[in-house]
Amino acid sequence: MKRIIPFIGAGVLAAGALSGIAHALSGMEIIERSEKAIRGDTQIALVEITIKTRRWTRTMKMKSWDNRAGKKSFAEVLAPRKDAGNRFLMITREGLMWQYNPDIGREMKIHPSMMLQSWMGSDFTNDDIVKESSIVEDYTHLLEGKNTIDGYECYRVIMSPKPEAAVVWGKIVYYARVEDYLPVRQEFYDQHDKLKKFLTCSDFRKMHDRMIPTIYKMVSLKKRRDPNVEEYTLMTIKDVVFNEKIDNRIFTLQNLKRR
Amino acid sequence: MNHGKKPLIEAVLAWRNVWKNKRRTVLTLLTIMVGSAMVILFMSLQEGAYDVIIENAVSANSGHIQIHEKGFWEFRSIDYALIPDKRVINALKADPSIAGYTERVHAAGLVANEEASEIVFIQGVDPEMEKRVSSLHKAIRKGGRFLKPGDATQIVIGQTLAENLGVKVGDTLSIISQGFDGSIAGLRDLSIVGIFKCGNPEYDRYLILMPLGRAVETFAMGKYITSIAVRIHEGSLMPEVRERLKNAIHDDRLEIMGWDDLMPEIMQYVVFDRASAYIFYFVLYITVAFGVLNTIQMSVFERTREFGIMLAIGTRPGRILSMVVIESLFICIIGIILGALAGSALSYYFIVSPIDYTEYQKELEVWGFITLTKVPAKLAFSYIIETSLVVFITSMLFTIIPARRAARLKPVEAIRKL
Repeated sequence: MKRIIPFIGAGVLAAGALSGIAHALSGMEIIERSEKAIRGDTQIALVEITIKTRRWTRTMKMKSWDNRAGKKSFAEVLAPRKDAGNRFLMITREGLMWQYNPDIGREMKIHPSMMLQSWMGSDFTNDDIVKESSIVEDYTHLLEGKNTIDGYECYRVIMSPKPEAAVVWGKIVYYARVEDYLPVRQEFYDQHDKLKKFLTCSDFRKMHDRMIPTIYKMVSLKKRRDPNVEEYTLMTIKDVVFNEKIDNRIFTLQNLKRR
Repeated sequence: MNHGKKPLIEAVLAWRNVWKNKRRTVLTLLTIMVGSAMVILFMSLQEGAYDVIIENAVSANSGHIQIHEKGFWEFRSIDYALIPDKRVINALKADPSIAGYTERVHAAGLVANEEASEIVFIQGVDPEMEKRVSSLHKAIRKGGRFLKPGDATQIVIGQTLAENLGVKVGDTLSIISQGFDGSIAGLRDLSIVGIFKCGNPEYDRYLILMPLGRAVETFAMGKYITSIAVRIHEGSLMPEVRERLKNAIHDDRLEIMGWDDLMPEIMQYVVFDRASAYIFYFVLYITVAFGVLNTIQMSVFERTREFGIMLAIGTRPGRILSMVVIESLFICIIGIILGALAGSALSYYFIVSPIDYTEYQKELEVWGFITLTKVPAKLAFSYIIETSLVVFITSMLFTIIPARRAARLKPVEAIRKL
């Protein structure tokens, strides 16, 4: 008993300290924790992407390798057959992106001017895919309060681009769950404070060693033509492994080009 | 009884006065004549150049009118497409002003050779229909050819693009793009059969033409196309034809755009250029008006004593005023007629032998859309009328000042002068 009491005391103290931190939590810390919670230093994922437009709905399967520390990633389309074998290599630090296409049997560098174009016809831009991690570095973060989103109590963080940052958004509003900082919703505004697109995160599940949202839905408002038809891109994480060492050879042009 | 004769006497007197000092009158006539002739000449050169600029810009590729699904022109995405149904095609075929139309499929893509990758705009075209609308087939460089029916993997590309990629006729290219259904479209072994240089830097730099059938298949278009380009016999009729097509097709999902919507920068250029020309014309008009003022002022001043005597023997001031005004009227009318003749003759010369801007093409490329080679002047009756009227009105307004002065002379003082 005597040995347990100090433990309890320590526990209470620790809890007190933790809640103290929680109160003083800055917007920056919330975003950092949120990012850390859904991503490991590395991750290997199997993802299903569904793109719905007013004319068609397409589902693709992709496998991706991410090295967050090295800021490199690699992805390969597995299905449908017509697109299978298309591979992407992204070196974030240099803002570079290559695509290998099996029909033409060669790789192509995605031109910087194409960075804001749709990635494979989805509601994500090439820039979203390559530069996703910069939400910590390129923005200032202001904790504005709490909102309830989809039944979860969430922190509401307003992110404004730093003056020197080369980003397209005028403002991002980020909602993260109070209990575990997991993202629930992100809203992307342009320079005129007009909502352009939003991402909702749902289906929170335990994957590998942690709880993460497994469905990400991006809805772009700018190209919505028919108010009755919802157009969106849905990304479902089917399988993911965190913090497993990835061979650096994955992130090379040789691997991109291999037959 | 005398009433009817009064103006006649003034007119006769005025006519004689006009020729009393021949040298001065001739100088004034020359001022008016040269002034209005210059305005007419510059107007016709300028309007002629606008026509050529517009016509060249339109005929290079865009056509006078284009039809797309609403949103296409803003986003330029293959997402926006239309089915060329009977109503659209019949409306195009029924309009007598339409010289031709062509169906196209547009897509943005990436083309690469060993080192470089370049962003390009792919335009799938039917070679025969295309020739009736665009002039790209005339801009093919030596050693190459335009697309022809039966081509499948053949392409035609712009000269700047060919230079950037370091390719020539006979080489092959690969392109990655995105299909209508969102799929990835990879095209390999497209053989270059022709290289064009149309002078519009944007087309020369980005455009790739491929056979329509092949584009429809590659981009999984099915029955869809992205645009219809229309050429009109008489370019100036564009707004009417556009209205007619809008009424005939009557479909909210489509956008029917004229060249002024498609290439607003050209219209802006024309408006800006016209405005700056008007400043120049204004200066000319004022110069002419002061010339007239000067002459009339001088002739009134010289005749102070004469007017004094006329007033002393009982001539009413109003008659002196109208006499001076009629003098000015004679000079103006003769000057304007001579000016109109000279202006028309000069303009006609430049209609017959157009100014050749070929040497200045490099400088003109700064404006991007402007391609000029030989630019004939364009003379419209309205330019003559407009110029003559403005010269007439300003000159007559400036005549009032000395004329009133003559009428207000006090006879006793006036007789003593000079």
